[in-house]
Amino acid sequence: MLRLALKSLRFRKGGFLALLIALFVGGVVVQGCGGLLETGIRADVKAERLAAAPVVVTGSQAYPGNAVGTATDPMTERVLLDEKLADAVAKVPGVAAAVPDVSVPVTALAGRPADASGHGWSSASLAPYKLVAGTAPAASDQVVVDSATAARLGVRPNGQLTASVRGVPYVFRVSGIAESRTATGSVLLFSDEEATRLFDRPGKIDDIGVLATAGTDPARLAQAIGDAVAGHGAQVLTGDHRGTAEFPDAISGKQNLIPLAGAFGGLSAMVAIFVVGSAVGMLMQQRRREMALLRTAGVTPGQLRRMVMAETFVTALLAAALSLAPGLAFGRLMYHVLVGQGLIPGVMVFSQGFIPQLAGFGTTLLAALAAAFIASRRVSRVRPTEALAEATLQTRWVSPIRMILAFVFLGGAFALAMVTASLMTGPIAASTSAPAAMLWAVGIALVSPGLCRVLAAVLRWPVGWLTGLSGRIAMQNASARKVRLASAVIPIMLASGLATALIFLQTSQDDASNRIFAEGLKADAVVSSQNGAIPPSLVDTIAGLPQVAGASASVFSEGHLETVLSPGSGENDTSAARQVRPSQIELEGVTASGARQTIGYPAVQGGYGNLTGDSIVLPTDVLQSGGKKAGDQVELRWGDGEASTMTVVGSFTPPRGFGYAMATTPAGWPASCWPRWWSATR
Amino acid sequence: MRSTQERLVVDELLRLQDVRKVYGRSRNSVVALAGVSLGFRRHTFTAVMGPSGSGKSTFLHCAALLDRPTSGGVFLEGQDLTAMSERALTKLRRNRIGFVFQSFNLMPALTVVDNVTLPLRLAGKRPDRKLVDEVIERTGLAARRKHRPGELSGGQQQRVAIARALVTRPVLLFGDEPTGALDSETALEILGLLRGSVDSGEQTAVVVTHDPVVASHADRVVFLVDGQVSAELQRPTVEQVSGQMARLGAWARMQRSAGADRVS
Repeated sequence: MLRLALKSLRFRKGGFLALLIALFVGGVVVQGCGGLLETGIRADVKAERLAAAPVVVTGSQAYPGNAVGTATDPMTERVLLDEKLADAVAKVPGVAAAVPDVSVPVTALAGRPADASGHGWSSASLAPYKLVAGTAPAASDQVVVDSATAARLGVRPNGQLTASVRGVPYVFRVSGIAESRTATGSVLLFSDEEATRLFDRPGKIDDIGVLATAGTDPARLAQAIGDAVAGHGAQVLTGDHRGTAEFPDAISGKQNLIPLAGAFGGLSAMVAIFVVGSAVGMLMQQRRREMALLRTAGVTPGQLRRMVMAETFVTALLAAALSLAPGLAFGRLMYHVLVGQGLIPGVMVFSQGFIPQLAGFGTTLLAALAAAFIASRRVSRVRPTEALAEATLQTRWVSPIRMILAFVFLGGAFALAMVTASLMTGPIAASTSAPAAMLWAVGIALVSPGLCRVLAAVLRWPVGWLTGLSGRIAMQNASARKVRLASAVIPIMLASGLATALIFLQTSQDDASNRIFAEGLKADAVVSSQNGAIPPSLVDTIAGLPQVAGASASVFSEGHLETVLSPGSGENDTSAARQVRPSQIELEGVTASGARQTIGYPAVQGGYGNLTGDSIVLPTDVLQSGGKKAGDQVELRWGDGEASTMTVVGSFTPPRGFGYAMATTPAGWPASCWPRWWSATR
Repeated sequence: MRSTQERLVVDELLRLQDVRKVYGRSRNSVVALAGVSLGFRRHTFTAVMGPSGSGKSTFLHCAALLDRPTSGGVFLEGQDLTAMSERALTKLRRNRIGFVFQSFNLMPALTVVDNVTLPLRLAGKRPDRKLVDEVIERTGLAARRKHRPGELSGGQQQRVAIARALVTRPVLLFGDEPTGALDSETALEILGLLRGSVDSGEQTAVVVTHDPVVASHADRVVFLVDGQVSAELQRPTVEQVSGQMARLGAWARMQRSAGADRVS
């Protein structure tokens, strides 16, 4: 049987080549997406500035405390550590030194925008940085610059360097030039006191670099340190995970990459299954007469089925084997494209191990076998007498199962559209679009022979009129062979339909959020900076200008409102005794004095002017659903994991689903959020 | 007298009993076979003739159970084929029945030898070299063993089909216009092969044809009109067959116009 299958494979090279290509492309794409998924899940980032520290302790990004429900995503801002933790780590046996480390964002160097960071001199031992000229920073106005940056800026020891931290310029004297073999970023090393002052989060640090005594096993040391810092919201990193402490962007990269790779991989796997299914189905239809002929020659329906399966399996095996190497290359290519587009940071280490390869291989085989199985069901029903008729046209395509499935899929898609349009609001409404597109695609694929006939009928006269006799014959042929036509059309329809849906989904979402943003903004002018950093004092300067009626800062972040299920010992209790149910909310930091003039939505209760200290303005629907009113208190979890009890001082009515909360800035805002400003004139 | 009749019945290889075949559903149904009862004795050559639309092809499909009759029974050596499953039928056809079709129906991907031995392979049997060689020799294909059907002439292709039909040593050989696509000279050669297989005492042949020359090679000619047996000739000449066909054609035309009159 297999011999017969192979001979027929060799004879029908064209059709099987098409199938081979479809399977090959599917395998390559699935493997590439698997590689991205693995990269995202591993989230490996090579340590550079912390390369000499075998163990790095940093804040855990997981939702702090005992939270239940669906909104317990990792924190979006960097979670900081208590500086006292460094002492606890230092006491662990095998630790030579536990160096507290902070990263100060430097937004401009020598008057030009820059992507640099500032750290304390003591952290130089973690790279390590070695002085190649001058001395260590001894006073608060002294700084050591890495050699590459120094060369680029042309600064020498004892020269002057202006560095802006969050938009505020400071003048330093360059005390020395340092060099590291591992670190590549642009780095300023201040004195430890100056670094702490510029970091501006008293009592907090970004991470702790641990230097081990000679002969200590990093894994065992990490274990011991983990025990020592347990319960303090810290995580202990070793090896290629250490880089996430250094490049917190990688955390958002991971959060971007996993759903992206998953969705794209899943989608392409589905399209591959459809394309392969259509290709196999079409091949079988072309060979229907041959199949009937085999039946007259004494092939049982079961044998025919096995033959179809064997042929497809051999093709799939070949395609899967061929796709292994290109699959790896494709994953790498996608990674570079995503890095180039800024969706993931380039410091993330691309890794595509054997699991994605295996998954791609398996998907290819599975898709082919599933398609062959379905096609073979039809083939096994071929009657021997079909071989005896001169030309057979398949006209029957309606089967009860097919109709039921079509009804289910189209009905589901319609129901989803109705539910989305009537019940869902805001950005959440977009989440149904991808499943809806899938349902429509499958449903339409199921009824496509019928649609093809209608389309052929509709296009018959225009095509005939434009192309004459040949066009008319072609259209008649198309409507007579609607089943075959549908097999050819389905994959194209699916691929282009789904792609179009996803592209326009993106543009519609962008358009909607732009419109909502513009509606919410009443300001006549917006002041912003090239690198997003403006000194906080500027809002007062602008507000004081003649003709300016009001000016407000604007900072965006993301937090969670927490419904307390069992109170425990208060808002900072992260033990099991306190249980909360978080719900996500966008946050905007504003200036109380200028908010009324700049925000497009008038306050319904209270007013923006009351925003002082731990106070918050909430959307009316959020307030109502929580059973609260102005004057009540709500529990807020900031994006960096800190918790505050906030007093509700007002409410406003943004479009449903696009609600966000407003709080005062800059007090309490995560250090990594830099204000963007606007002002209202009139 | 009684013993003769019994021997006749026992001698019958294939029997069709009241076979009806109706195509389509109730509203626009077409009666292709309207109750045909026929017996075929061992080692005979029977030609089934009739004008177009008389149900010749349907008769053959039903006799070989390539298509299931709407009602009635088909008995091969006393065994009712209509009661068998598709799988069992396929196996029975593979082992006991050979087919030769007008359109040859060879597998284009396979060589001559592979095509000839296909039924044996499908049955999971190792082809007997001697037997295969003998069949290929007998059908005059010795020089064409490694060719594909596309590289052969029509007559050669039909030889391959006959070789394939004979290789399983079937008791019954069906032909559906086996010479329909061939020129008269080649047709005679093919007929000779079929006749030879019956005369050698191995096969029983039933051939559907509209060609009086083919029918004249048969031991018996059965005429079908409108799905019913209308006449039979034993060892006829070409002229007898032609004459009968002409009468049947005229009669059928008359019947049809009479029927049309009744409808109008």
